[in-house]
Amino acid sequence: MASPHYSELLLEHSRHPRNAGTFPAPAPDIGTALVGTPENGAVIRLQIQVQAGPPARIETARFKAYGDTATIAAASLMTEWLHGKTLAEAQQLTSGQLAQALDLPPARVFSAMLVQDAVRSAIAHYVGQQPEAVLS
Amino acid sequence: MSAAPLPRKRPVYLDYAATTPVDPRVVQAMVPWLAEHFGNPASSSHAWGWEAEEAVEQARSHVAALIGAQARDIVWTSGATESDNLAITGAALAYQKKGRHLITVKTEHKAVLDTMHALEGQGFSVTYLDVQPNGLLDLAVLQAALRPDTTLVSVMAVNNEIGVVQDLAAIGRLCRERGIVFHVDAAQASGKMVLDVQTTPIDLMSLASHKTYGPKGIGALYVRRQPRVRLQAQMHGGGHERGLRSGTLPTHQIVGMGEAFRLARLEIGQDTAHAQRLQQRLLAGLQDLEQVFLNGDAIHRVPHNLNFSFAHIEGEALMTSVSDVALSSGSACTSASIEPSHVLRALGRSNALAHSSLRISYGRFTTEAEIDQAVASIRAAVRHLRSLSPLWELHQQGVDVAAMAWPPA
Repeated sequence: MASPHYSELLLEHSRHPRNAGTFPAPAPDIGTALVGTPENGAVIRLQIQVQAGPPARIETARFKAYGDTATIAAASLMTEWLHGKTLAEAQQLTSGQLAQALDLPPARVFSAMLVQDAVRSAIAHYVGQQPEAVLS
Repeated sequence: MSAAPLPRKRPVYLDYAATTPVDPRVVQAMVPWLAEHFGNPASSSHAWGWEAEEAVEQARSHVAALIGAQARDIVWTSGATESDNLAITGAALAYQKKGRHLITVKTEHKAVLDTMHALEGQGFSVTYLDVQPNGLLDLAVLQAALRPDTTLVSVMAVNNEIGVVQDLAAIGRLCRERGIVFHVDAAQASGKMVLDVQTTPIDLMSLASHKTYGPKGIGALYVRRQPRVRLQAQMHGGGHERGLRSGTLPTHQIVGMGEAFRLARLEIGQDTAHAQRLQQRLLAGLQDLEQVFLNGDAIHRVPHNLNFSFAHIEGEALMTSVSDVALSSGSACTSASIEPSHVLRALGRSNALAHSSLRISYGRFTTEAEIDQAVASIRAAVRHLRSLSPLWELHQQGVDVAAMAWPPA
């Protein structure tokens, strides 16, 4: 069912997503997350390329999403937010902030939650590869 | 944050299976019966009533003629949903001393399934038959389900979601041999395929007006007289329609359905040829897309309906992306629910494929330009969403996505 109540920003990000794509190859400075399942209707791959600090800072982020309009828009908006954030700052970003910024209908808030999961999972993956990274 | 502005113009309408525009000729036929000739057809004492009754009877003969029946076999109802209720509940109760077992198919419309479910609550036993992956009923499966206490079988002629046509003649013969009442929901079939109760052993047939370019809110139930089918009335109050369905007859609605069915009988040849051309155009426009699956048998179908699943993209995103075309995803009647279509699940489709489906349906007033617009819109949406999809990326790398375990190692 296509909802008629999507905000302009949501529709803009779903029609013209930012930072859609995949980094060419795994690398020690790239954290990758793959969250969700097809049966649940949403799968997000989120990648962060991190510049070692201190403080470690996200240079660029990329995403791919299988999911509804809200999922695609939330993932796109999040990659914009991630640019230039320290890992600590990125860890603080929440689904509630996404939901508010996109004016998500209540039934679509789960999309934002999956994006939040993806961010934290990508950070955890990077940290797992770079144990000396300073999260400040 | 402001809501997105409404589109400047309405989308192209390709959702004929949900409802059809009323033919202008039908509108013209209906109008005099609203404020000018407004009599109650049951008013037998004056000309206001006589002329309304005459119009009703003429419309009745038009509806009957489309299906090879006699006028007196037709009962007016408020629509195919009510006809289904009257047929199924009416027959189940009428024959309950003979038996309390009913049979239907998992791919039926909710009007049939929910009615059957309600009868289960009243102590009836119902068998819901599986279909083959192509959507067609296997006659052997039906035969195996028949019991000495079976009194009714209900199978739709044309499926509203995927357009497949069941073998009504063979099903009817099986039922007739055993004295079992055979009900057919023909709401999607009228004007799209030949229906003939003289040559096909159908006992009860539900008909809708609004799927055949008539107004909403009126339908009919064909009730066979030879051999006679008994029904317990569901709507009481005055004994109209031979006691089978009480309620003042809406002359303007009935005139509309009558005219719609009269036109359908005259124009079925050209309507079908037109739909076939549009179907071929649509197929040609989409056939080179990879991982796109037609739902339902490719041969045993009406040409007015194509339902495709698009792998590796999500259904709501697909529907939103094609917002310049009015389509349906899953069953139109339950599109408020996010449950994947029960019909597509019954074909064996995964939840994901069932959810990422589009039903494209068209008819008398659809133009080739509209089909071309739909093709362009669908292609662009599929290209866009697959470029964003990690599942499509995995597929392109040669991974069997359906076989993957989640989360992947």
